Amino acid sequence: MFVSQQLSYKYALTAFFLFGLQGIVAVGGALELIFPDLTMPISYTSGRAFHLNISLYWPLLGMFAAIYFFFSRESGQEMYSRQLINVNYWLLVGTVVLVLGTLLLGYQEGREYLEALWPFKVATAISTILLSYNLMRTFWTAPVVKTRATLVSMLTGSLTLILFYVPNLFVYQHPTTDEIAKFLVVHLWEEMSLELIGIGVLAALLIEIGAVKRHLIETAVYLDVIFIAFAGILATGHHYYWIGVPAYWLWIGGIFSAMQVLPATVLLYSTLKNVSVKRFSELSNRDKITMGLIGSSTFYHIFGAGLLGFFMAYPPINRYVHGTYITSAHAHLALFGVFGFLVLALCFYILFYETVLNEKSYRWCWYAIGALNSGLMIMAGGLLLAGGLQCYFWRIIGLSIGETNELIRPYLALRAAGGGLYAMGSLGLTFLVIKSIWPNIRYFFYSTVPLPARQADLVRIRDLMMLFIEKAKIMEQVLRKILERLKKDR
Amino acid sequence: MKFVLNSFLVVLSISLIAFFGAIYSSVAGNKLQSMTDQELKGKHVFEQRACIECHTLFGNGGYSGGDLTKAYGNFGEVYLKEYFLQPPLISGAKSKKHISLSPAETDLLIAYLRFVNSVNTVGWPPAVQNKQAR
Repeated sequence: MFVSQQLSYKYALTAFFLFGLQGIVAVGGALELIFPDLTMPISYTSGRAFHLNISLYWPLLGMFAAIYFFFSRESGQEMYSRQLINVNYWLLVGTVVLVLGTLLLGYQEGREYLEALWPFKVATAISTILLSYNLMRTFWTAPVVKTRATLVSMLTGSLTLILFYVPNLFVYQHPTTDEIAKFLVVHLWEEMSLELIGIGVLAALLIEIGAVKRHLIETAVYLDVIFIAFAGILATGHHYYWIGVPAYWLWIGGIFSAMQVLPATVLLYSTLKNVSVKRFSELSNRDKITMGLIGSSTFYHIFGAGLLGFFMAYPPINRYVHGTYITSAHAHLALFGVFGFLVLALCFYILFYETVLNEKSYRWCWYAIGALNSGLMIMAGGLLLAGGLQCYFWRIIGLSIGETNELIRPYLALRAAGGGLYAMGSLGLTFLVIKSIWPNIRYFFYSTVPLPARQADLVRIRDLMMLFIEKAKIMEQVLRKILERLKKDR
Repeated sequence: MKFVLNSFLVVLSISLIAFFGAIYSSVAGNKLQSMTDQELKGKHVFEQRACIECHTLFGNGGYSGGDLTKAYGNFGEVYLKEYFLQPPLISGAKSKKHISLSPAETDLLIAYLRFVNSVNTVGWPPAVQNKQAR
């Protein structure tokens, strides 16, 4: 256990906290769409901007936690600068708090997703630079082989975070250029940077809990990141179809989006092939929850992001579904379904590395995960129905958007109900995590002395006990045989 | 592993170069029309009023208010002007109205919408067969 790993705890805890907040604001907005006369304490526009911004920032914080935690472990040494991990934390969290605070107060820039005053954007960029710098220096002096797949994919992922964010620091005149720059973050952070980091971290996690062997997964990771690099970047074209760029983007986006099924297939194949589910019952409670969350993420990766995305990116279909609630359904499934669950899994794993999750909380955690999953499904289902009908009434029959809204309201209510369930799940899970952590909260922020009882130690002790019992059974049989032999001899 | 690592880096670099190259070739030179001062100010009105949270532009934004890309072409200047100065109720509401703009803001925003209307979006949004006006 390295000090750098302990320093990442606070990132994970903050990510969980923000995740809990996200649901509440969203439910308010969803209700306002069904009951337009409702007056909320926060205006709809600020609320939506808050929801979108927090949806980029909390997974980012969680990924930072996972990178610092697993990079240090995988490179077999402390991070180059532990001070920088702390500085980076306060910089990033300070930025997030200020961004969200200014949004709630109504200081909006009117740009979807990346609504932050300019200094906060610079601060976000600096955070990603600090991360990459620390990783580079660590990588340079790492006493392990430099081609280790997990390290390479985490490092390149972090570097591309900077590359895709920086164009958004500039101000553009033309709305088309705005859109081009926006999707470098909205699409490429998720589909490229966080995906690379996610694959690396996930592989490291699976190796650590003993679900796979390193030499088996190494090639799979490389194959996956090569496909991501090949298809993922140019697939951004599917966001550029109708924003005022030449028509060749329809071809670029269409072809490369279709090829995005390749990395998803590799991921699915290598998971099924290499991960042994047989050992699931032997995992610790924490690892079971982690695997449950990873399983959810994989599910949405294949169906929500992969399959739905595959059809939607086909230009003739996209022409009709673009800019309807179907887009919204896809965004929820791909952003929260894939990355949200993955980041939750990673943060959960990290937070309960040294703290023990008690039996009662463990059971409640499953209920929370159930609520998150069913909430998300209902929400996405409602949005898909609403979007499908919106597309038909508005785009095909030609009703006005007002008349369309009246007709699809029941499905938006379904979405709000799903959202409510989801928010209960998210609040519940956050509450359970913070409650379990609370007695050691100071330790999570300040101390660097390991806690006395460590999850990993307990698991090891239990494994040894199981081994003893197993051996005892064998011994018992041997003793019986000896006894019988003795009886016969007599 | 060295070989796989290198091929990853090569694929990554080629993809990035191709991607940014394609972006450059679609915005460089005079590919995008330049905006007048008034249109640019109109864009700022659009941003200050956070229109994007309820409406979409090029299909991106909020899904409840409808798309504004071709609003100028579909509704015409007179209708839009009246709409912004004396806004009607928002759909489904009994008391809540669409936000109103000052006459100066209205002119600027309409200039911006006229500009957006002129952007070539390769035939998007799809034309409706039996268009019942508005």
